[in-house]
Amino acid sequence: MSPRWPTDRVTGWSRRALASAALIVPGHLRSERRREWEAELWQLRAGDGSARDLVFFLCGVWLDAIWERKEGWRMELLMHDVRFAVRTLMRSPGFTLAAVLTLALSIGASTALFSVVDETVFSDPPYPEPERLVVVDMLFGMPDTEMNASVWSYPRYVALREEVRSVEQLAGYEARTMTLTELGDPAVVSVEVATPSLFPLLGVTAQRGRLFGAEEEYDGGPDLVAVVSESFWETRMGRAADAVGSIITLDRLRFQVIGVVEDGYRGVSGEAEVWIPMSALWEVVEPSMLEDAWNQHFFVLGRLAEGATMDRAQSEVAAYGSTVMERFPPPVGAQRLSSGARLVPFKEASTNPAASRSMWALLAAVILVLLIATANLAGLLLARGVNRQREAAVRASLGAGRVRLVRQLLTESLTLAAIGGLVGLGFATVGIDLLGAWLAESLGTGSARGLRVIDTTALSLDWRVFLFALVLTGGVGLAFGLLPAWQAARTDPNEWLRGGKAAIGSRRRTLGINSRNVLMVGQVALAVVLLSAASLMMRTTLNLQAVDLGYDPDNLLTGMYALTPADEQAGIDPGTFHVDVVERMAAIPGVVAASVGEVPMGGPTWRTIVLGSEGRPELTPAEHVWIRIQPVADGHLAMLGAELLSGREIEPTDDWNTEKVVVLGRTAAEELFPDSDPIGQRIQLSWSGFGDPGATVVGVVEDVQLGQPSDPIERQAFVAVRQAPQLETGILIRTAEDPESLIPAMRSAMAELAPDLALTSVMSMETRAAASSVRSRVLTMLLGFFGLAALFLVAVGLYGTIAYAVTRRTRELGLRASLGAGRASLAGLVLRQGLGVTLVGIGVGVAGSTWATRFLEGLLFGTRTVDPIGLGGVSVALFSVAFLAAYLPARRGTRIDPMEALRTD
Amino acid sequence: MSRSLGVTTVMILAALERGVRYGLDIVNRTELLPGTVYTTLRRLERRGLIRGQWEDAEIAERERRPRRRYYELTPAGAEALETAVARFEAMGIDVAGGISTAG
Repeated sequence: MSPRWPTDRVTGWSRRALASAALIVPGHLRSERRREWEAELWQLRAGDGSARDLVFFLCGVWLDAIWERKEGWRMELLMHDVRFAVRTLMRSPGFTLAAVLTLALSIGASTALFSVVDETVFSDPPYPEPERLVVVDMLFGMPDTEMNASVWSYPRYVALREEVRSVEQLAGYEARTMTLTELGDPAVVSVEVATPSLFPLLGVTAQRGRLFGAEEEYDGGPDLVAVVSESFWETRMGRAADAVGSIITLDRLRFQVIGVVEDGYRGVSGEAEVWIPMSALWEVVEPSMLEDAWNQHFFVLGRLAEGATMDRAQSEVAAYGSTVMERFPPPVGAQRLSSGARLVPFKEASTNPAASRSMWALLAAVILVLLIATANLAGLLLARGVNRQREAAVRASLGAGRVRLVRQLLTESLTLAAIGGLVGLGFATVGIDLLGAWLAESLGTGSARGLRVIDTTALSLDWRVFLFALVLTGGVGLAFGLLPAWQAARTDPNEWLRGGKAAIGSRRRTLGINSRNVLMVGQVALAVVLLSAASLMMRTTLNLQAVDLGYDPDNLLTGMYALTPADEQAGIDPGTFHVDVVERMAAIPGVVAASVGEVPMGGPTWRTIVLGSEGRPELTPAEHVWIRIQPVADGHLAMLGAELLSGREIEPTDDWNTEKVVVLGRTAAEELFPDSDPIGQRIQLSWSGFGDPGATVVGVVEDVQLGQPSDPIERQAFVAVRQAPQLETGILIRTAEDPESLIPAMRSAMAELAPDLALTSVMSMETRAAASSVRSRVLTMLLGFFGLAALFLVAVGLYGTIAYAVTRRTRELGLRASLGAGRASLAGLVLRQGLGVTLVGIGVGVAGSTWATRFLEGLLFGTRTVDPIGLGGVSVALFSVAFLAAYLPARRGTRIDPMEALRTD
Repeated sequence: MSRSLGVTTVMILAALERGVRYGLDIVNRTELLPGTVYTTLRRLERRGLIRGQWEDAEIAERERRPRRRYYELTPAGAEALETAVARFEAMGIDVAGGISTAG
């Protein structure tokens, strides 16, 4: 039997508990509930209630109180606060519209950008158990330096498969382009070359026919089979029912279609239309790939084995990698390299760091704009709050609790934010559709291993994006609502009802003015940060455009093509063929000159090793250097507009049976012949035909920028196409007028010479350059746009602040005017406040941006993250705009009629 | 609201029907928790199924204790109770079985 409680003291506590519970209950029910509980408590005492019963009773009382409170809120919210808020907002439609629009645009833009970030960062690759998928990197490096990722060769891959146990289902993949013929016009298709293990590894299925299987393992015979994508089957085969089993011709090879892959799948690169087994490559295209451990051409994927940890797998793979050099002795020239291997999680491997950084930068920028807009609104609401203080005082004196007032003000802000957020969500939906894909593609969709970075078709408003919008809207609403609500809570209604406006006017440092100043400083600072980021991007874009490329990119038409080994076997000599193409192209009307070689920012790219040179005869294997090389036709350098520094360039006399010659770029010449004149001396290259005794240097040319303008210049060499032809080549044509107008003529000329050969990547150099600089231009444009939006908001905010200050100080200004103060001094009085705020804001902003812009590292070119000139320019621009925004209301202030002013309340 | 009543709610209504009148008494006779009883009483009052009124002041004064709040069924409440009890009976549950009458 539970003991009875000691009466009086416990009763006292219990009654106090009842009293505090009663405080929670809404006012009008408070005393009623209290009385009921008191009666019940008395009953409990009078009966044989135990301590346990008392505890339960008190719990019940608290539950009752909480329930009443919850009901009270529910009624109030539904009935009063939200509707009141909406009515209040409707009373000033201009303000409401402007606020809603600003909020909607910035919340909408943030949400749309976040969806892109979300798809890149948070979404998983569409394969089963993606967290166990890994990329196996082959690593090579010079001793004592960091190793770089390379690609795999078949022998090394086989050894890897046999030795490493903790990574299973290893598969190789490679992306190629091949020419499709006999199915409409010759076209170039993206082909993914895969080992049979790739489809099972990724869990990809076929919708018709079958995918590669055990039959496609290398077994001594070629497997000329192919799998096609849904879109290939649809657009090129017309969804023919007999597609499976039919033949398609790629690079003059006949492949039998054995299946159509599942709908929507486009390979690991996201672009593949056809898959062929790697054994086809090995057997037919380049047989040496099978045995030559140094003919490396593909990437390797795998899955962590059941029970294996990443660490254990890493060490196993690394151990294998370090033995590669011994197991597979390298060709002459690469002897000093060290080897290794490592695992990279698939998700991590499918990233494009520059693209990610750009997206985060844009997201940060748009949130900065949102913050500025929020601060703007907070300031505006503060000002309105002061005007409504009389209203608040009256309501307070009529019995509305302070808590009630604050809650109602917050509801107003949250309602405004909610409307803005809702409209913003609408904008975001449109924005994601219209701009999401464009943005993602301009910022970059490819990664280092040919893996797709982002699936632009999957951009959508999923729950994470929606949650982001919700949190943003709520945060914004609270942010600009708390300040005015706090202000309202602190006012003493009595003082108000007594003093009127004069009461607040006389205290210059009231809550209203101070907070507004702080908000203004914040806005200016954030605008400075945003504008400085925009100016850094602008400088980057300008710098990129100003780079001296070493050649003349105007009026240059470019393209690429590739002969196949089948062509060579059929007796076509590549060197002669390429020269024929040049002659045919040069004959087109409107063409100034034509040549073959590497297309800058296009390709093909070849590199070889300098084995020795007469300038530095003691070149040990450790000093072998890589050099970029390209076979060119005669007059190539002249056509490019490259500056010949000494000697001559490739001429028609340099033929397959004459002495091998080479033209060096300046950097290569200086490095290989530091103390002597290179002309006439020999160098040996690890390039077929250029080994011992090597080639004679006949000329030195100023370096040509063969990559992106922001890439470092490489050592380069030019050889004669007749002396060292390759199957593939680029073609460059200098035109008299618009290059792209000659594309049809170019294509038909090619068709005359070789009807089955497809020209790829045909575009003017200008178009090519534009594509390469698209990221920095898009960033400059968007950051600039956000910067201007920020500037506009700051100007509006400053105008409002000064106008408001003038209104508040009407009496004071009138007094001064009547005492003889001139216009200028009155203006100065008003301006001082506003511009003081601006200067402080600029100072804070400059300091802040020196820290913030470091996150743009990696996106900039030719400028450091802290750019004093840019900062100076931004500060001046901001100050000028601020001055203008402040000057107009200030002028109004100087025109105050003293008599009117003194009469105002 | 046409949501059907739950067991505890029906128990409380049944208790009121048997003449049990104030909160603690319901707690004792139904053996439900006070929290459940009080919040359900409020809900029932809001829905108009029961009616509450204060005890006669004289009686309370005479017995030197605070006035209790008494509850009783409204006609609507009586009807709801009947329907609910029938519903539970059909399921084989005797809702009001354990509730002793006031006395």
